[in-house]
Amino acid sequence: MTTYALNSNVLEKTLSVREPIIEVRNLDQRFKTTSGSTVVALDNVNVSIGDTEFLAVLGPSGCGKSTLMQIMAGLVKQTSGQVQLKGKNVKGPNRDIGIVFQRPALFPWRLVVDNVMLSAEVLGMERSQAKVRAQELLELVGLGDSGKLYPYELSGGMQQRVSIARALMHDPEILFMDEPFGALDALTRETMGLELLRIWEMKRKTVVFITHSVTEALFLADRVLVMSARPGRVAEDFKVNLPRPRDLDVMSTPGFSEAAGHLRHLLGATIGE
Amino acid sequence: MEKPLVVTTQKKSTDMKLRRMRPDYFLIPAVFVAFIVVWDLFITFFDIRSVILPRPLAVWQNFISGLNPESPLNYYAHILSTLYEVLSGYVIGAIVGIILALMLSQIPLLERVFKPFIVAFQSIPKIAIAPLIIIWFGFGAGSKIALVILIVFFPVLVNGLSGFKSVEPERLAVMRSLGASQWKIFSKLVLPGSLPFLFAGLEVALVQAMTAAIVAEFLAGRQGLGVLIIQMEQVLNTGGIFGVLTVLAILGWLLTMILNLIRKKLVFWSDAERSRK
Repeated sequence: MTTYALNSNVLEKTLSVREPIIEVRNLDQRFKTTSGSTVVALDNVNVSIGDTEFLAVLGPSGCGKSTLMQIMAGLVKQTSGQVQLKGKNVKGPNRDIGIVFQRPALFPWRLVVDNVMLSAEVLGMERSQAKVRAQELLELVGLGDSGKLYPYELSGGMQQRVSIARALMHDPEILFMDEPFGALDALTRETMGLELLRIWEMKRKTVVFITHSVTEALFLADRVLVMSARPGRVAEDFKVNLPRPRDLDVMSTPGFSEAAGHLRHLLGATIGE
Repeated sequence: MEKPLVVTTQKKSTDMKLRRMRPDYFLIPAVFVAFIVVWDLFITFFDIRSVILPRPLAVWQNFISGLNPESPLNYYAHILSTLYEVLSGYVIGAIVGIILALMLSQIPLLERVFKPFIVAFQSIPKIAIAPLIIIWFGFGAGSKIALVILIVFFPVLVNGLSGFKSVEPERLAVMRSLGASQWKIFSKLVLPGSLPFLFAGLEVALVQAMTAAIVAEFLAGRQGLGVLIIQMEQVLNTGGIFGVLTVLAILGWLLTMILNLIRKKLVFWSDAERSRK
């Protein structure tokens, strides 16, 4: 049944650059709907993500990009295919991973600082050390003096910053972000993008960033994995050749608009399919 | 130095004090006084006999004499009986409701099997079971407590069940992605998240618990505020009945206040709580 035809193109491209930290091979995901028909959410997805790489997964809604992330995070079991994290098969949740969702998903009954410390409690880290680290992380995301507030006292953008700090608390090597700025207004969104790049450059994590915004994907990522919908397939593995560090001005360069045009065309083609 | 890990943290908010200065606190007593005056004028105007409706002053005198421990019709033993029935029935009913809600929320099969029975049972007016309960549990406090348990149990179960099942999927995913144990997921996420639902159930249950105890006392009993009302009814002591109703109002208000205080401490963070004035 399973074919072991590795997508050699993809592998070559990335292996030459960085040592892979995540390897996805021949990944299929199928759902049975209540009416009994089968939906193919992911169809033979192959991707290799390099250590400290910033990968954007770009696609229309329903292309299975969130499903892909949840499988890589060990939250959902795949129908077939292989996902390896640091050379080991992913069988369940993993401490090397931190997750940020579209909604901040903070625990409203906890202070901001206690929200950041959640993973410390779950993983049994020493409390006084965790407190120091939580404060450092709050400062990193620009909320150094908001620790003693409750989440409902913060704006949506600030809440999402807390959620990023929380994801970094247990110092995971990989950060999965599922449309983290999707619920924010355009201005906040740009600021958050800049902030994220700053944090990424400081912390040097591997980031898998799921989005349906072409500009966001290009502005942030080293590589954009463009996905098509129903079934979810990798339409193109696009290398972003824009210099780093980047600021908002990069968006008005010819290279950026050319790449954006290409990706939009590609997305349009995959939707029209 | 180290603060214990608790779900709530006290927060002294200064705007709470400012809020107390609003005109409500003048208008509430004013409305009360107006009500008393209209009541009294109504009796004078229509020349209503005191057996039908006593004057406010008569109610007050009855109330005061009920508070006098020397008086043969004093309230204390009755208050204790009724409070005992309400509180023990309430606590037991709530605990049983929460435990059952917990079990049903954890085991989907159990919920699917029992849900139709719960729905069917819930639609019976529980007060109608009171005579049966008295046959089973006798004339003492037992039958009253049993009825209170029965009445408290359902709103707590139903609300608890929706509370335990209302976990936001992303919050759950955050916990699961950390490999959190079932217990940690429950204690750090499911339980605190269910508190607003639980308190909604507990609030409904409190009023019903008082009603259940009084109705059961009407039917059969030796002591309690409901018994006292029946005794006064038999001698057409309307003023006395109003006096007991005053006691019931105060008790109900006190219990509600206590529950509100606990709720404010525990669920100050919920959207519903913050949209309350």
